[in-house]
Amino acid sequence: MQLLSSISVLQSILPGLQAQSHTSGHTTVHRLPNEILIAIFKEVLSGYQRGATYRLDGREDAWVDTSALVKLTHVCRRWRDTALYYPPLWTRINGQHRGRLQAFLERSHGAPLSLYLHTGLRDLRDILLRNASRLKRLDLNILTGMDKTQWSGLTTIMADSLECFTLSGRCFDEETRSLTHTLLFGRESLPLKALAVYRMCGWVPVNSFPGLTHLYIAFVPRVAYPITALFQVLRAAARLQYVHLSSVPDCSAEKKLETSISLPDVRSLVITQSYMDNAFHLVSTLSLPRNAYVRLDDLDFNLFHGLPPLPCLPVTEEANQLYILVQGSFLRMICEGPSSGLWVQMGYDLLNDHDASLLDEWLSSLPSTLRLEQITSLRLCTGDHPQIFQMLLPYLPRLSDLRVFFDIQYERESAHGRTAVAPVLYSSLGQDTPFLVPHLESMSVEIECGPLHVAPDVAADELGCMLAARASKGCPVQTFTIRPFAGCKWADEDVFSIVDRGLSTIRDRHQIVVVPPSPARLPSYERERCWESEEAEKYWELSNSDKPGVYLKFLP
Amino acid sequence: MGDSNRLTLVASDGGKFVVDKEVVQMSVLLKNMIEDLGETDESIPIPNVTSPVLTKVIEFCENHRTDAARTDGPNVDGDDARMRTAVVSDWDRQFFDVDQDLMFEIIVAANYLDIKSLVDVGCKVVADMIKGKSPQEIRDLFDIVNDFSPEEEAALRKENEWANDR
Repeated sequence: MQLLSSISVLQSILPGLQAQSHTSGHTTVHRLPNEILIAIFKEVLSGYQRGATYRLDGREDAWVDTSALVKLTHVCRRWRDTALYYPPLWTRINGQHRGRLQAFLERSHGAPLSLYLHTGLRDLRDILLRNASRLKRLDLNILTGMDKTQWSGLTTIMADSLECFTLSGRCFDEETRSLTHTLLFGRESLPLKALAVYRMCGWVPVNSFPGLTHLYIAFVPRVAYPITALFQVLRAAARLQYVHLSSVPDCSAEKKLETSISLPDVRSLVITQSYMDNAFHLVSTLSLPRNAYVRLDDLDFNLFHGLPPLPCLPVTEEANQLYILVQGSFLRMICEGPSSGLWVQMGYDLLNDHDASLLDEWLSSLPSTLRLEQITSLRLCTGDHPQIFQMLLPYLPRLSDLRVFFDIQYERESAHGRTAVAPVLYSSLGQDTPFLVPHLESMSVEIECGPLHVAPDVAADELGCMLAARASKGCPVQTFTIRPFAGCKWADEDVFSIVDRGLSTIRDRHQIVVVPPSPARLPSYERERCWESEEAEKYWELSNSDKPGVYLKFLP
Repeated sequence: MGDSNRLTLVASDGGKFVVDKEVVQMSVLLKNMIEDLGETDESIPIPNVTSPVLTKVIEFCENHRTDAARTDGPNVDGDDARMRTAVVSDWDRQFFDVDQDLMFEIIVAANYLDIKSLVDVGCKVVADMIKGKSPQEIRDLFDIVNDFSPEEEAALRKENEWANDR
């Protein structure tokens, strides 16, 4: 009977085989070896899948388009056999459909699995339990809120090979009331390498994570969460390298920790979208290595609490470049060394309706927390905070390259009580006692005149005095470049002429280059590559709001 | 002794090609052979590759001889990462703008000679031809006969029920 059945099958495919062999006199796709066919299949699928990572925010792109793979198996018997006997093609599963999950599990044979579920664990728990030992990656997107069944599901699944676990969802009121402690995957010590929790509230894993290198936690804004629970996770993962935290909870009620949390392997620590107090407090509880990058980005400050001072961090010890943009109540400061850096961005008010003294006070405390002795390059976008020169320059003994950008709108307002920037800068650099930045060799000033086409007062007298004073002390500024430009093309030429003429009185005594207008606009400041590590996105893609932005404008 | 920087390849149909060793070394197979042979004037036979195909393979290698990212083996991230990062340039697309027989011959030859960058580009070009097409359209494109039995066809239709379900 079995033999007859086999003969019947063979007869049914014979015409096709004959046709196939008829074409084999030519070099057709049939001559491609299996490994090439597989490579082509992978390439076809890569167009429908986002590499090996998912974005945590939104998760729509986590859906795996299985139809493209299935289509390939419907072309002919050889293509089907080739695909079916290559398990890695079937290991990335979107598990909502029970039939599909079963088929993929069978076809992937014993290969490690990457499973994405957006309906929770309830319906597929039996299958998950049977295949838990093969799970290499599990992505859960819980849209209905977590209940006891779901949490216990996470405890009972014995996923010993799991490398990456991500949990995202929506926070519901009932989940905010108490904190659920969960022993993930039934093991106290979990060999996870990556853990991401996106906007899940009221939950903390109580495992230890001795091999965890990547941690991402997005807390729910304005939902209380005990900071001690976060400390617990950090303490349990001493080998962390890439840490990303957003909406860090309030920790004002917490006492200062007696011992700091040691994270000696951290390469990148990012805290975003948090209150400044909370971010600074958290960072100050961590013991970080010198060769790491710390980005405290998109921070808010509470004007009623004042601005907390920046904590002392070892990542600034080797800093030799400093970039500061300060305008209104907005600040971006980037302090970089050869293999380390600190990035602080806070405030949101780029307008002119604020009390600048708060930020001035904060800036004046910088020399006590930042290691400035090694800084050789300073780029300043001063906005309406001209006092910054007197605050910083005395602490920069090795500064050799200074670039300053200022906006004419603040210069014009000097008549109404504000201090114009250029005279303050030049008088600071020209003063006798103390004589500041003795190694200054190169200076560049960029002045944006704004769309109103009002040329700047270039403070030629103060500039001339400063250059003369420094030359007389044997510390001349070797190159001084000034680039005026307007906010609109038609005014550039006029502004250039006015500035050029304004400096003519001192040009015979000092070498000054006035950069003429060019069609190319001032380029945006390009952040250094070090702030965006590919390794940080090894397990998930960061959304744009999680990545560093660009703001500073300087000549390249 | 001839020019020590050049050598002669002999195609399966007897065609001879004198090429720079540097160019030839994009092929892992030939690179190993050259290392084994040492300094020699002997020609190297390429029995599985015809002259028209070898002409194209040499053209590709000459064009890519200065590629900084040339790899003689899998990179540290493995073959998948290499495939994902390989970009098909305009020149490469133009290079593969040939009839299908020749296109597949080139890929087969590249695989035999172990020229990974050429294999990668070839696979990408073929994959681009496949993307977005139905099984029947793929069969029509590559002259593939549907050799599934009626019972198998029925099973395939059943698969479609879950394949397209989100």
